[in-house]
Amino acid sequence: MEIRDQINEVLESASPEARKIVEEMLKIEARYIHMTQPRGIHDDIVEMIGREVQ
Amino acid sequence: MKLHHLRLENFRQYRGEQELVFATDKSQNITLIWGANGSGKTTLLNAFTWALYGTFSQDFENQDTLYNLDAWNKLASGDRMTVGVELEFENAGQIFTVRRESRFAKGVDGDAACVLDGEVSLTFRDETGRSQKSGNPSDHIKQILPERLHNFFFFNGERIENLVKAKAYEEIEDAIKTILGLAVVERAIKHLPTTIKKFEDELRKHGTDEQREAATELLDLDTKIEQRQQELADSRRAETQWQDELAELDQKLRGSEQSRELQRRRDELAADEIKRENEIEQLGRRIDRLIRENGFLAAGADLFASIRDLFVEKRERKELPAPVKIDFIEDLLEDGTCICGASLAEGTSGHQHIAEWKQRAGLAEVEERWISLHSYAGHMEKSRSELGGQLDELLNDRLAAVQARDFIREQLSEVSTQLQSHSIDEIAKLEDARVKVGNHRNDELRRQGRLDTELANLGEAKRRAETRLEKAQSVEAKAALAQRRVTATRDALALLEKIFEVRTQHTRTSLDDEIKRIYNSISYKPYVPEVSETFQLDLFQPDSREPVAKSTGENQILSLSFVGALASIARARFEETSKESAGNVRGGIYPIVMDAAFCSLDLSYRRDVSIGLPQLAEQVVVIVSKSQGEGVLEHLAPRVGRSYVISYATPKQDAAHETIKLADETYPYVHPSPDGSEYAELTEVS
Repeated sequence: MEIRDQINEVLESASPEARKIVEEMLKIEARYIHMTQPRGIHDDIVEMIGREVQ
Repeated sequence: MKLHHLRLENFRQYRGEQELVFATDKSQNITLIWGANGSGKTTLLNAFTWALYGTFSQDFENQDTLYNLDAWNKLASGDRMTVGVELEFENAGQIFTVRRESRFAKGVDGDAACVLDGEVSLTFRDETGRSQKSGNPSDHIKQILPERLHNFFFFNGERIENLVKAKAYEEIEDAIKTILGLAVVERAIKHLPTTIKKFEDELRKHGTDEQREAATELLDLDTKIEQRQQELADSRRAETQWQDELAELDQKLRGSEQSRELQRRRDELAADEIKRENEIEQLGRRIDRLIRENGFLAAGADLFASIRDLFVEKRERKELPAPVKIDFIEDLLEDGTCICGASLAEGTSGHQHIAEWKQRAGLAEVEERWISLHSYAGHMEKSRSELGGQLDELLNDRLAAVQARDFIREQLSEVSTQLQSHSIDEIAKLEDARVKVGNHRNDELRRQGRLDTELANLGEAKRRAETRLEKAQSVEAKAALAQRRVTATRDALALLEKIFEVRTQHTRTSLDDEIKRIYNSISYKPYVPEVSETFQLDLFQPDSREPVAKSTGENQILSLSFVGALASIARARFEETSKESAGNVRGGIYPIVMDAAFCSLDLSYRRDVSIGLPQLAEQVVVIVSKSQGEGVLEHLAPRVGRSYVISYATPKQDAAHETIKLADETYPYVHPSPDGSEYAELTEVS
């Protein structure tokens, strides 16, 4: 099976909320990727989940 | 990343300013640099890593003395000297110049005081052609070539073979993840549990007793799982180190004439043992499958016998087949006349008599079911007896394989005993050490087995606790919200873990295919390379899948194939992500810079490696000595775009003049320095 199909299969098995959190989470991580000790990242994650799951 | 040029300023042996311009033509992609031992070959390799990351390789001696000693000696007290390396390269259409420099002031007593320590700057030309200075040069460089990848593209050929050692799996796995941009996913997986804990704290604060209990249990389970995973990783690391030590000891025993024969015998027996182990595993799988699919037959013996007995009993009682069919009775009663002509009108004794028969008559459907049930029971009894036969056969085969394996183990033990009691002390000691190392490795393997089971049980307990938490009813709104956040975040974490696994395994497969392709195009041996599930590089015999006892040559070719495959995957990933989204580009087009490329290889391997090198990457820089380059130039020459000689001036005045002849021209290679100083200069071969 193609990698894209496999990933889609994995994504389809998840709830829309989980998919959204993953999408936003990866954006946050990409912003902090060059910091070994990403100060402030946990606040950003909590804020994001608080926003997405009301 | 395409290298344009490297400029050195008073950097170690290189006095004054020296420049290397790299070959960039695809058909002539090799830059070949010749230099004598100690002339500055390793310095060149380290000039790249110092400029890019400010680091040096482990074999780079006197790392504090970066300045050129000859220039330093001529410097007046109180003056300053700049040491610098500048690298210009192209990446994704932009031209970058990275420059790192240190400055030293000379004291009155000749001491050096560092006044600037490896400051780095990065400039690049943007799309409009304007030159811009990067505000975060170190981060910027790491975006282009992540630091944890540089060992794979800037390396010493003598050490590259370490990649095939078992302990290299972590480095390899890391490289893959970095190239794929999986580091982002990996970090997300690392950071999410902290957030989950925060929401679980809220749940404990506002939730019901049931929610509090489930959240506390989850917290406890997470801690235990984390601990066990850490223990498992530690054990894997330890086990691979023991594995490498075993391989080294085996190599030593193979190398000694007095132990070679016994070690060869052990190699053969070890290969046989693997074959037998595989056979036992396969037979075990077949037995499992047979029991899984047909095992119920074994429990059905009584049932099948009672069906058969009941059927026979019914036949004996003439109930099967039934003496008269119910449809026939009903037809007679409806007709009102018997076949003998007597009246069957309602109320007559004939009607009453025939109606009584109705109770005894059989249903055709029930009869059919009985017949089919009887036939099915017969079939099942036959299958049951066949199952017994098949199982017996498989169990016997497995027993024979186990006995054969045990016999091999006894022989292995015998070989070990003979080596331990060898008349040559050194051999006996090597074997003693091998036994100890083997025991350590087995301990780790057993520990891993225990940890795997424990982790599986903890995972199951965690799933149960998660379900309990999900189903628990909230009383307070705050608890309900915290509960939903915990569930959604846990789901997101599980999703990230699955994505990570799929991508990692997919890349492992691609890497495996690519290594096979490159290895087959370089090596004249028919061996099959493989990247295992745990990212270990191995080499097998083509048909039997027996591991090959690898020589330095095999190791180097295998490692080079890995580097080539990595470059190829990085490039594919770069092209793929460049099309997908401009903001999240991963992978890259990387050159290969290789010092001591052919080190101690014999001629046949040198030929193979020199033929294979140009295809490993878009641009290859090869740094060799005359002796390392023997038997290489004729194969490399058509692909060499630029060539340099490091001319080394030695302070040793009685040293012989040595030259190197390239393209019908003779170049100074080693010569006594006219003023007794020591320095190196780069001369381009015309």
